[in-house]
Amino acid sequence: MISLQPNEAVLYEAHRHWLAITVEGVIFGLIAAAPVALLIGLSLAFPTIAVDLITSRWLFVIIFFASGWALLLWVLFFIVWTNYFLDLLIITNQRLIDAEQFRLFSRDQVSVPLDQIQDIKIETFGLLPTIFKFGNLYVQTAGTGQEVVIRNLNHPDRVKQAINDAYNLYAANIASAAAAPPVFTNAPVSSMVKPYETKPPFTQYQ
Amino acid sequence: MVQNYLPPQTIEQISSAVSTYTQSATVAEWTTLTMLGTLFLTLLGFGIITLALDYHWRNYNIDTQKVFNLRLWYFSVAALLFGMMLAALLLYIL
Repeated sequence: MISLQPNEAVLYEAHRHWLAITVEGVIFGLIAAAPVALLIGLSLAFPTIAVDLITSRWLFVIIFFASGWALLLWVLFFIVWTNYFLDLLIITNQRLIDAEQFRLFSRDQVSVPLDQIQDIKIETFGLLPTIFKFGNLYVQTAGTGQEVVIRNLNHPDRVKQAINDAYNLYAANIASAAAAPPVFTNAPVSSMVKPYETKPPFTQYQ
Repeated sequence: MVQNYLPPQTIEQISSAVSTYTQSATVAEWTTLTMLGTLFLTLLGFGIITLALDYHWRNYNIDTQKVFNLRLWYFSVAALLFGMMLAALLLYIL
């Protein structure tokens, strides 16, 4: 569960590029359709056997296992889709959150405060990433020297800009808070004293 | 282990019955048994994975409407495919 701090607001959310999940979806679709394609191929190659098969009770067995195969692939596709959808980069006004879903029961979440970001690098290799505008984003952090890597990110240049904007906003808020004059009030001092401080001084017990 | 709980005579009777059945079972009976086993395992696997997926969808930052649409898609197609399996099994048996 990603929980935000009281004064924290989400500025930007980024996912991996849709091309990754589309390719996987097409592969799943092709594998799911394989039994039907096999049956059509069989009926074209051996028409008599195919007719015997289709007119017998074995047709129900074929339908049963083909449906089971399709159900298995449907569930597997949703696992892959969930892994894709829960890989998320969130930029807030205080930090960067990188949540990554590896498998169904394996999840990783990294949080980097904006003032600990030292360097951001984007990387686009190849024809498809250039055409569809996706690539890798590397965020170098201070302290442990840990590097956060987000692969196949949609529009990494926009994400980099969003991180820069968030940092500028964060720095401006810090600067304005530091430059703010101290607040004076005309309230009597007695109203600021807490109850436990109004106890008689220790000297009275001596 | 089994010998500790069941008398030897009962184990003998059960194994004899299984042996007689497996030797005399026809292809149609074997097919029916295989289909029943597959259906059971499918239901079990589908249930476990669905619970895990649902846990993720509920907990990790997805808004309610998206989760509802997702569940509708997931369950309607899965129910259709499972219904086809069940119908094929019944049509084969009957």
